[in-house]
Amino acid sequence: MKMTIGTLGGTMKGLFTPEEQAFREEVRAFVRENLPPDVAERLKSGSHPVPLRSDVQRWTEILHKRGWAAYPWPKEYGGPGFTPVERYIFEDECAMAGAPELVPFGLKMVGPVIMKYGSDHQKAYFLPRIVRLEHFWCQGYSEPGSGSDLASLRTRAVLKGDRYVVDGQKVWTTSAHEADWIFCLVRTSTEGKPQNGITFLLIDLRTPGITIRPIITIDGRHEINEVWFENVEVPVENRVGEEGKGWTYAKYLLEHERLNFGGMGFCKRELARLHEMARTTMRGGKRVIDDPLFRTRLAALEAELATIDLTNLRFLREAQAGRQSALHAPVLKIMSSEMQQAISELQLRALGTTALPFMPSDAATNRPHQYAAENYCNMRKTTIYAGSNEIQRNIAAKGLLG
Amino acid sequence: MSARPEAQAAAPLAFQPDESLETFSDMLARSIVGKAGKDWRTELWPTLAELGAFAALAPEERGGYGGAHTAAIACRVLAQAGIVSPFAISAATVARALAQIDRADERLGTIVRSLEDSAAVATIALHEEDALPSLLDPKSVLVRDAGGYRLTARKRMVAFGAEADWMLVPVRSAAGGTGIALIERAKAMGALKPCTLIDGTPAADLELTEYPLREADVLATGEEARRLLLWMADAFAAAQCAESVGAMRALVNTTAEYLGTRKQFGQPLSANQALRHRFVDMEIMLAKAETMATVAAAAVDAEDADDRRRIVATARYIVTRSAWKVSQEALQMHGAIGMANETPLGRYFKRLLALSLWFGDEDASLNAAFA
Repeated sequence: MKMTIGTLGGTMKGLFTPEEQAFREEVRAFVRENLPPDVAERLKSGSHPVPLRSDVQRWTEILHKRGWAAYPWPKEYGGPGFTPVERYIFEDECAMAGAPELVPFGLKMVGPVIMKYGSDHQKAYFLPRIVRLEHFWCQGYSEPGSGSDLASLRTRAVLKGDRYVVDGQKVWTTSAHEADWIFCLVRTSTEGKPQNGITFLLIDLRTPGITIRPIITIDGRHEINEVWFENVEVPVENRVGEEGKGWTYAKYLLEHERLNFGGMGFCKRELARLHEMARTTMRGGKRVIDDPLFRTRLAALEAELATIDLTNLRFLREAQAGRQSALHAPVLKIMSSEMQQAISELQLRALGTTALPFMPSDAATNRPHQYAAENYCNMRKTTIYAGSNEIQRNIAAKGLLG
Repeated sequence: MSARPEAQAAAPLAFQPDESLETFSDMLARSIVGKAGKDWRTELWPTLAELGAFAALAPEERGGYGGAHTAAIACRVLAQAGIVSPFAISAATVARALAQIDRADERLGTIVRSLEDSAAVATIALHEEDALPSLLDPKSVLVRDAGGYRLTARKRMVAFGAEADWMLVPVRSAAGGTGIALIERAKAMGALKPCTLIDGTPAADLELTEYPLREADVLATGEEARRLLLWMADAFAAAQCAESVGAMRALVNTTAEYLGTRKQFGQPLSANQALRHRFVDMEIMLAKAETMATVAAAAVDAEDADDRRRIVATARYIVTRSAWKVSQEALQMHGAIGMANETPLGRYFKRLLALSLWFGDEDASLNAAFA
C-alpha cells in the first residue's frame, strides 16, 4: 500500500524492532500467498461488513495449518504466543489485505474466560473447537430492558438436579443465526446486589426451547437477532466457575474485549477504499479527491487515524512493560469506534448521490455498488455495541475523577 | 374543506407567525396521520388535493397563494410524518417552473393545470454521472432533425422517474446551448431502469439514444432554460431543506420521548446531565436549520438568481450540517433499538442521509454559497 498519513503506523521507521519488522514481512508474505482472492474481494467490495461464515471458515483452516488460527492465544492453548505488538501487527496485515476477521466471540471473548475460569473439562472440550471454528460462538448479554445497565438482566436460570432450566430473552445477538453455541449471563438469584445473582452459562444453540428471530438493521442486512429461551435445559457442567460469580467473569471479558478493540487494520482497509472512491467520483466536473474542501477533510481524517493507530501502539508498548492504565481500554474503544464511523461518513461524502441506490444489483446501476450508505448506517453500531461510548466515558470518568 | 387563507398581496413576512398558514399546517398534519409507507398516489394525493395543497402553489391569477413558503410548510409536515412523496419535486418545483413559461402552447397549459390539480406528477432529471446535479452543462445532447430533434441522454437516479407522468430533461444542443426537453413516461418506459434509494424514494435511470422529439417537446432553450433550471435547483433545494427540518423535528421529538421513558440504572435517561446537554445541542442545531429553511423558501420567490443561489446554498449548508449531526445523535441516544429497521427512527435517519446528498454534502453548498 502506498504510504499515506493514515497508514503511518505500518510504515514509519523507529516504531518496531527489527524482529517485529521481520515478523510483519513474514505475515504479509503469508497473507499474500494464502488468502483466497475471492474472499478478499468480498470484503474489499464493502458488501459484507461482517464476513460470511464460509469465508471465515476457509481462512481459519488456512491459518490453522500455519499455527495462527488462535493468534491471540498463548502456546499452552494452541496459540502462537504472540506478544501484544505482534498481535497488533498480525491483525493489521490481515485486515489490510482483506482477510476476514476471525470470530471474536470465541477467540477473544469466551475463550479467554474459559482459560481463566473454566474447568479442565471445559478447557479440553471447548478451546480446541474454538480454534478450528468447529464451534462458532455468539454472546448472550443484552436484554430488552438491560443494555447499558447490564446487571439488571432478567433471563432466569433455576438449578433442578444436574441441570439449569433457562427462561428469558436476549437481544441484539450478533451472528446467533450462524452460531453453534452462545455464552450467556443469566440470573440465578434476586437476593442482594443485582451483580451478585448472575451466572455465566455455556449453551448449545441446538438445545430444545431456543428460538432465534432475525432483526434486520437499518442497512437492510441480517446480522443481529433475538434469542428466546423457554425451559431450556443446560447441564450444570456448562456453568463457568461458580454460581453467582458471572459478573466477575463478564467484567474480565469486557475488559479483554475492549483492550482488543483496535480495529486499526480495518480502518486502514476502509481508508484505501475511501481513496479509491474519491479518485473515481466526479463532483462538479472534477475528481472529488481534487476538491480542496474534501482534501482538508481527508487530511484531517488521516492525521486522526494515524494518531489513534500510534496511540494504540503506545498503549500496547506500555502494557507490555507492565504499565497498563485503566484508561487504555475505554479510550481505545471510543477512539477506534468513532474513527470507523468517521471513515464511513467520509466515504459517503465522497460518493455523494452515487451512494444513494439501496442494495441494488450492479446491473441496475451499471457500476459496482460500493455500499457506502449501507455501511455508514451499519457503522453506527460501533459506538453502541461492546459497552456504548457513553458507558466507556463513565468508566473513564470514574477512573479519573472517582 | 379548505384551509386556504386570504390571498396575500405580497409574500408573507418571514418569521411572522401567520394563523392561516398555521391552520393549514395543523390540518395537513392531522389528515396524513398513518399514511407513511402507503401508496402516495392513492392514499396521499387525494388528501393533499382536498386541503388545497396543490392549488395553493399555483400563481395568484389562478387562485394560488404563498408559493415557496406554503410549499415549505407542506414539505416539512409531510417529512415529519415520515412520508416519501413527489410533492417536493413535482408540486413545489417542476409544476411551479412550468407555470413560469410564457408561451402560447395548449398542451403545456394542459400539463400545468393537470399538475396544479394533482391529476399528474412531474419530475426533473437532475443527475448524470457527476455526483452533483448536471443542469447547465449536461452531457445529454439534443440534435436537430427533420421536423424535430433527436435526444441522446443518460440520466441517473431521477426521483420518481418511473412514476412521474412527465420528466424534464436538461440537455445541451450540439452547439453547446442549454435546453429543457420534456419526456412523456408513457412513451419512454423502456428507457427507464428503476431502483430504490436508501430513504425509500423510488428512482430510475434514463437511457435514450437518438430518441425522437417534436419541436414542442423542447420547452425552453438558451437564457430561459438557464433561468428555469437554476430556479428549479433552488426551489427543490429549499423544499428539501424544509423536508430535512421536518425529519429532524420528528427525530428530536422521538428522542425527547425516549430519554424520558427509557430507564437504565433505575432512572430515566433524561436524568443524565451529559445526555441532557447533548439533547439541547440537537435542539439548537434544529433551531438553526428551521431559521435557514424558512429563509431559503423566502428567497426562492423573492430574490434574483445570484442572491437566491447564495441564500439557498447558505441555508442548505446549515441544514445539511444539522441533519448529519441530529440524525447521528438521535440514533446514538436510542442505543441498539436505533439500529433496528422496524422502528421509524431508522427511516428518518436514512431520509436525512439522502436529503443531505442530493446537492452534495455541506461542502458542496459552502462552495456554491461562496462562489
